[in-house]
Amino acid sequence: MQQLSDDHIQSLYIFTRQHFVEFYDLQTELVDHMANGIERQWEKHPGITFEQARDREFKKFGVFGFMHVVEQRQKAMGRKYGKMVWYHFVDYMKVPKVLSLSLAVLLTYFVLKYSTISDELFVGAIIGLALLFIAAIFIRRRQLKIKKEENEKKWLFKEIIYNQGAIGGFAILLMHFFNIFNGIEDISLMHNLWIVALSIFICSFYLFLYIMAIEIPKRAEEYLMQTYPEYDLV
Amino acid sequence: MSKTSLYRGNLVAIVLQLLESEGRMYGYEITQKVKEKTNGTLHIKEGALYPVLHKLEADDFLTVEVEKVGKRIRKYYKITKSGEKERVGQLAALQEYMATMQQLFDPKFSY
Repeated sequence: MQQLSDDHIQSLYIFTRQHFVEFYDLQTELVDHMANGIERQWEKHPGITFEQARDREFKKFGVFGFMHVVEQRQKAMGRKYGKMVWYHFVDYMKVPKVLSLSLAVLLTYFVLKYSTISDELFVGAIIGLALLFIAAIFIRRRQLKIKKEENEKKWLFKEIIYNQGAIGGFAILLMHFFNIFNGIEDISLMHNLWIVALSIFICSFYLFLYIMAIEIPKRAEEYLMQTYPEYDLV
Repeated sequence: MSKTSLYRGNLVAIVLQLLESEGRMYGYEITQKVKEKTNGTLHIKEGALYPVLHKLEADDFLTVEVEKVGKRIRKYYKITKSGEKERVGQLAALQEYMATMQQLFDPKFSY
């Protein structure tokens, strides 16, 4: 049986990129699929060229080509990531991590209940936090760029892992700015139960951000190896 | 309604059943096996198969293994323990559906 050459395989990778498949993990799977289909066609119709067989195989993916597969893959990976964040969060509900979370809730409660923070200090803290966050993202981007230059391949799950924390962080910062412009209510005058609920909410919110921006990216390599067994093959 | 749209709703059950009986398989192999087993009656569309495989993988019903075949990397799918439970559930639902349809269309089965 006539088999595809290395050049053919390389041209199939280019073909998938030209058809909006930018992630290497999906390119790899589609290239193997197309290659199998082309070889099968050569078996049945030995006279047809590589390009003719390739185009016939591509047609089987329907009028939208690879686009539907790409969209659904992104959705599936998003689900996988969401579950991963949730498992990390649930881990903080168990001993010993629940102790540190309880301590954080208790501290937040006392800060909200007994301390009075001036508007200037509050605004200063938020701006300081925003600058720190932007600096951290800037450093992370530079690190990623260096890595990308070393290895041009893009992995979908890797992008999700490194980008979601940043998006979550910006969402929280925007919320703080919204608070500044809407004025800060005197929380210490609220009912105790409301302050407890608010403390749990604030701590959970920041815990999610910590998980997405620090904890998961720290273990990125481990998760990428689990998701992509081919990660160390290429 | 075309046959394809009838099958599409059961693609998850078809894929899980196939992987349970055949062991690990790759995408192209699944399309060919289905064609072979149904004597060419059923063609799984590539554009429908991969989204199902990726969703099942994200839900931990399938696990993946890879092998280098020359310059190509082949991705194999295998059913997991939770995938096996899902398969049983899917088949039971499918059988129930078929029994209901039979009751509806075949007077011999109606009470």
